Amino acid sequence: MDTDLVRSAKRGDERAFTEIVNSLADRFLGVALRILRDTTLAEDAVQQALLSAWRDLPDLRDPAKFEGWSYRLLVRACYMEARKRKRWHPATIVRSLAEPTAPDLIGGVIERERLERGFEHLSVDHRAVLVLTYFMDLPSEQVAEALDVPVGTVYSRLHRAQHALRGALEADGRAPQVPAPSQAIE
Amino acid sequence: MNDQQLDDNEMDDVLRTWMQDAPAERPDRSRVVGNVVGRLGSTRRRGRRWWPFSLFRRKATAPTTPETPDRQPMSIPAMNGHSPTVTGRTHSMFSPVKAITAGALVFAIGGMLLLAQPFEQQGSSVPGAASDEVFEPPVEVTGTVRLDVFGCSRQELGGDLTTTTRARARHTCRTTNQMSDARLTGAVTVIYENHYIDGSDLPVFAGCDKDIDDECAFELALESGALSIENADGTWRGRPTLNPFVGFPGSDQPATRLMLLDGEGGYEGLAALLEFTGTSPASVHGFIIDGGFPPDPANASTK
Repeated sequence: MDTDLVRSAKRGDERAFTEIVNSLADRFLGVALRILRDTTLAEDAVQQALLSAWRDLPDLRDPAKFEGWSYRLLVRACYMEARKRKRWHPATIVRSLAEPTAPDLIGGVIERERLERGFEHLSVDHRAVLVLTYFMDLPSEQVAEALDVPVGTVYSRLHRAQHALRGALEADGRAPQVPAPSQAIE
Repeated sequence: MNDQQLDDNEMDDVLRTWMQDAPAERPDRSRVVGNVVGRLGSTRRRGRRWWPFSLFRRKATAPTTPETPDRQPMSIPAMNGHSPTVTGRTHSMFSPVKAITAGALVFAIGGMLLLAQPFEQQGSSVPGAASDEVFEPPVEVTGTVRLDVFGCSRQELGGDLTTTTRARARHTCRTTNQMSDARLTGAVTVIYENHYIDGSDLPVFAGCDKDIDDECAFELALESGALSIENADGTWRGRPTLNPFVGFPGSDQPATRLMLLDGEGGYEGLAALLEFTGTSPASVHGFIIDGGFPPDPANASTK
């Protein structure tokens, strides 16, 4: 991020901040959508994060740290949006009743739909650390900055997130299959 | 393939590939940008605070959420050219935080006034007044040092962070610094230990399911460590310090760390007090102090 642009925005230049918003919007929406798995919630979280950035920017001491700081605001906004949904996890796994098609495998090893269902069972903490690591490709120290936790916590949280995902996938594999309509008629 | 057979590398590859795929649903980017830009003018911005606490700020004059109409401070109309008389309390008159902070301020100001007195006027009851030693005034120093994890080695000391809810690990990091005073520039070694307790292991959160309720996502991390700086003329040996961090989601980490260092070799008799802000690079601000810090009470003469 151009630090001169951040300095101008910090002084109150709306045009400079608009440029920042335009440069961040796609990445922010990508992160929020992958954490929240809901376009409306993701849009709200990004709006909230960007307006918080505008409001709090005068308090940011070092413009060079804008990017990490803004990710922290985004993750916080995602937490807040997630809390609006009281419970994250559906009591039962909703399965597609569409005609079964050839499984869409990721890397030739796992079905995409199954991975998505497993991911929906993770807490926001776990989703956030996975998204920042695998989608944004941030190094651990920047993930720590964005999540506002020590670096060691990032390592442990990442491992637990993978463990939880494996557990969800395994549970999904054991759950009784809902028959497709054509099978049910028989 | 069975998911149980996915090893860590396969899981990494699968997650990375899946995350990088474009999602089926796309958010409305232009609507989001338009909403944000359209609200910039009406969003009240924070002013920079020189004092971290809102001790003396009256809530009525410093609304934090002015955009919400029902939270606007009530305006009191002027009457016949005279200022209106306000009856009753308009803001809280007492809080424990205010009382403690005010007490600390009184002690700090009192201490500064005492130190500002010429030594001969302080009387023999002041510790150190009888000493003949004369010290050079402190020298202010500034600089930077990289304190990131990439130059660190890690050693598990107890438990395993990846499988248990309590663990302890030691990190040894080697780096260099750039300081305004060459005496403090050199090879930097930082050794710190982390002590973790996962919230799910704390009795206060018993029965709270972290995977369902984000409020339970609590982690406690205690960080203790020491730093040394070595160059051709001598060594600065840091005293271990403790930085507790209680990690609620979204809570703030401590922004600064304070280190005390004792001079050795060519720096014998000197001490340094350094404050580190940030990590990569950390900005450093502090003082070189002639004569070092006060002695350990256990070793000090009682005469």
